[in-house]
Amino acid sequence: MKTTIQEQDNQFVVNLDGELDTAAALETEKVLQPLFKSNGKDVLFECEKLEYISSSGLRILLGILKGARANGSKVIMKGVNDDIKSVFKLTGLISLFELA
Amino acid sequence: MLKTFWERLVHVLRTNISLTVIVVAALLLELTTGLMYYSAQNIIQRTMERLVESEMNVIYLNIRNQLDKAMVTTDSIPAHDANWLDGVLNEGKMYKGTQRFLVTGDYHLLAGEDCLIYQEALEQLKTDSDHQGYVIQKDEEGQKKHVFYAPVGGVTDWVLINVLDDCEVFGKLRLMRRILLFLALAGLLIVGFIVWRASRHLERLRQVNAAKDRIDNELRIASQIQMEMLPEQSPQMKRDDIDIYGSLVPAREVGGDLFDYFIRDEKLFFCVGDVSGKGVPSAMLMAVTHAMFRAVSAHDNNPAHILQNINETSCEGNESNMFVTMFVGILDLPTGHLCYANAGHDAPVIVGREALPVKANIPLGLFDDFTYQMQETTLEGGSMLFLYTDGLTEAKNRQRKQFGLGRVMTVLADFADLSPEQLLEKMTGEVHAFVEGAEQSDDLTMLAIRYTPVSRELVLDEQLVIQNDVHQVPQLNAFVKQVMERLGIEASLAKKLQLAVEEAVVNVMEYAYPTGASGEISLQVSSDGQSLKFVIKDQGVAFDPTMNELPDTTLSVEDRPIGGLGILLVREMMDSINYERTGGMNVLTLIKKIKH
Repeated sequence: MKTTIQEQDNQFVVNLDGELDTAAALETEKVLQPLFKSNGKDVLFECEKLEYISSSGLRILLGILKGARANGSKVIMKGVNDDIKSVFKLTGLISLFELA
Repeated sequence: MLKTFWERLVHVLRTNISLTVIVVAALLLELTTGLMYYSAQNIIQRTMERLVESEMNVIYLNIRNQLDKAMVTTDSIPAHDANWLDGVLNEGKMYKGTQRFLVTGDYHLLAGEDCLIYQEALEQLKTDSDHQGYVIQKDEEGQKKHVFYAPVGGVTDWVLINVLDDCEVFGKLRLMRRILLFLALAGLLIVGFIVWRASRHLERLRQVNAAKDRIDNELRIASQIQMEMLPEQSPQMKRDDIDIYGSLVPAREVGGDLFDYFIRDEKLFFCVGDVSGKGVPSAMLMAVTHAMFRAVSAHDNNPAHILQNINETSCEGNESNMFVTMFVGILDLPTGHLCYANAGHDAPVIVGREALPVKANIPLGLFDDFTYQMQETTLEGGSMLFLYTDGLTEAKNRQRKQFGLGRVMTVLADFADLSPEQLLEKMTGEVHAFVEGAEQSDDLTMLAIRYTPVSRELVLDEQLVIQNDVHQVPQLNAFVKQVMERLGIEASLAKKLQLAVEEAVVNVMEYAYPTGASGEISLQVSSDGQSLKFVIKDQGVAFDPTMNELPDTTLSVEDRPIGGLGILLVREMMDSINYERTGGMNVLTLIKKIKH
């Protein structure tokens, strides 16, 4: 699992690549730590290469979303595949995130 | 008041035909009496006139005869002694009070005593040219008099005046008339009174009937509701491993017995209960108990806890000291492990064998601090449990003899091979034959459960043991992925199953082992070609993930808790989830159908 953050055009762009299982979530959470206290910038997740996500991964996303909402910024998920979309649907997260 | 009476009268007459007939008959009778009275008066009046006429004729004849005999002429009057004419005049009076006067053509009084009535008659006579007529006049005392006058004829120009006293002629008739009137009025009053009383009674009867109808109707609906509370023989229960059938026949419209069953997380929850007493009070408590059973067992897998919970609630405010006997069982369908607890109910019977060894404990609703004890056993494949209420064993025939447990056991032994439904029909038939139509005195409830676990040949059986460490999750996922590939499971479904297994295992890591403690978790994957079974075992502290409350997925970002998604995903991805604590191990079984 590879996770990278870039700051560009006044927003964070996160690239998620691989399987975000419970073990990987530990590492990813560390990498994404800066986003939890969002300074008002929008967050764009590039998910084209995200193959799998477990509930610990969803928890990270939900945590970032809560922080962003509190500051009035947006969290956008881009390129989410159908399998992950169905996980979003089952957990009700689909109505909380902006899926692009 | 009068208006309401009138309205009520009309209402009563309209709604009660027999009463109307009586009233009409009474009124007709009154009318007939009245008509008879008037015709009687007319007849008497005419008779009187005729009598007077004949009376007068007699007198004329007499006078003329006497005159002829005495050779008197009108001019020689009074040649004879005045008393002679008086004698003739007053002969043959029908009524004693009759006064008679004889007047000459020039209105000179020949016989009779001059008085007011005579003067009045004379005045009338003078106005009458043919000297013949009938008038009614009053004398000095105001008494009514009938005055008849007519010429004597013959050689005389005399006129005879005959005065009848009305009181003498019609007095008796008038008295009769008063009596008749009184009787008629009394009759009318009596009829009115009868109608009034009847109307009051009828109104009350109508109200009572309406109230009864309403109660009957409500009872019918209550009975319907009560029957609807019983579990349907629903398609959900059409499973290979369980055949279950219950019947409840209340002694009255509604009853105090209950039975229930449902399957949650591959466990069959079932109960049979009997509320003390019968009828509406019992039915109400039955409904409450039933609801409590449903509510408590929705999130508790321990039958003793379920009873304890219902008991505590039942004891609160139980002023009427009603109680409930109840047996609760939870059958783990994958293993046949049966946990049960009893609250003073009759012990269930293992059909064809003996009664289940059951601690009686005490009924629900008596002491809120009582601790119910759970018992356990394992049901063999093919065995059948039979539960009942005392309405079965205590069913009485006309000789007040009870059906008895002995007969129940005999029927169960003789028909052990029947299906639950057939067995209950058979038992019901036997009870009916025994009681011979004696009135059912208590609610009769039976529940039969046959447990037939299915075992198919496994096409796959793999096991993985990992440490209690999230860093081993990739290893777990790789194992599951590889198994899915071997079974040829389509990628999208494989990912879902992988996710469910990961969530279940991570859940164990997080909750079954305290932080820092190490331990093993084993995952067994097996398939019979029809379904996939994942069994996750660990030796950590007892932890039942099926008891976890699921998060509300409709909440907003702000209200949404971060956790709780794991078990939600397991439930969503799998067809069934089942937890058992056996041999000091947590055993979580996840099942997914792969062929339909």
